[in-house]
Amino acid sequence: MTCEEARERLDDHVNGDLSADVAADLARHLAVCQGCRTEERELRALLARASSLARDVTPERDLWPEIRDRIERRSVDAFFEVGSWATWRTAAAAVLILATTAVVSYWLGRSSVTFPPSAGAESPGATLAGGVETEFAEARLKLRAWLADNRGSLPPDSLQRIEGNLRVIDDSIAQIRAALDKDPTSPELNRLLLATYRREVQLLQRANAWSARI
Amino acid sequence: MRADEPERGWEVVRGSAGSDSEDAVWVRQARAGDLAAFERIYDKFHRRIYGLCLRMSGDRSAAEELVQETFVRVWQKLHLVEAQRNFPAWLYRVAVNVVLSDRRSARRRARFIDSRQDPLDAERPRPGAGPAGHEASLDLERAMENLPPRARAVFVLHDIEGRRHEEIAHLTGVAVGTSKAQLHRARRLLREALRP
Repeated sequence: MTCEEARERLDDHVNGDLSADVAADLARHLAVCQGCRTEERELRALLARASSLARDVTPERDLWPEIRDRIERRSVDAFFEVGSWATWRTAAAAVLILATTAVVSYWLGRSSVTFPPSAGAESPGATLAGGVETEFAEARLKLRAWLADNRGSLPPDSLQRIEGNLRVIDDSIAQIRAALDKDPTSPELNRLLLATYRREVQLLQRANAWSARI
Repeated sequence: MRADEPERGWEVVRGSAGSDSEDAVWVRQARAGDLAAFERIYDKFHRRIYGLCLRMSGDRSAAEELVQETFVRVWQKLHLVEAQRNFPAWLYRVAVNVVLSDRRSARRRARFIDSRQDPLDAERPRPGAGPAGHEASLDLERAMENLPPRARAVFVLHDIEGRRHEEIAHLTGVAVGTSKAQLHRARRLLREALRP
């Protein structure tokens, strides 16, 4: 066996994949060839280092919040893509069920949005999301005002679609608020409410940007 | 390979903490829409998946995105996996798919940007980062980052993750002989990079 043949077989050799005959030939070569023995030693050392590497590696930052946001965003988008009242009722029922389970403690522990006590509030659902909801409310008021002022600049069919989507969103917000009146401390409902506001603002922002382009 | 194919390689991730039945319970809960249960799945497996993505991509930022894409995709496809079956192996296969498809997308984007580019360029070490220019003190992780992408992927799957060539060929869509050739190349380049 030549050195070239031996080195071609070293990978299979260290993997234990050589037949007995070829393995014996290689062993004879290694016994008399220091260069190939060095190659074999280096290869085994490399594999030992590779196998000693920890398979678990901790990321430098917490990747979960973005995963959670992407999952939630897709859920809301999927809901609004359908947008039917029947679908909404089903989704709302599911949310109410979720809100009464261990999910509540999960959201209370993980959410970046705080949920102050609702005692004394005129409308508990209106206060739970605090300043975040106020910011969304201001943004949506501005964008709704823009839409009212610029109805004439939008193609009729586009305007019809935008206003149809906004009606669905309004219905959804009303339903979420009604559910919040019954369960004002539900973090899941609050998150859904904020996600719905966010969806509305995004829709209006897209319409605004699109209108500017045309 | 599709993510919903029967699971293999379950033994690769069986060593993670916790019991199989615990996984099965969480998977069932997550399939019902319980995001808290899915977070427990993430907490248990994300380091394993991150390690895989980091070494296969050779890029920390890309690995973070690949982990996120993996878990988002897993959430979307949970209905395809049976809770009692080998969820960790299925998760692992989804992650490998995500990494490989991302590499293929990156290559397509590169070719689109410059149609004159030699497709084999992606297989060459980055300029100035090749084994020949490496200091002897480079550790294995650093040396792996500078491997050509295909050779690195095969090395990670075979020599770190413990996969056999037949499975690597199945996962990556290449012939077994090609997988062996890439492994041979990766080991040679790494030995050269790590020599004193």
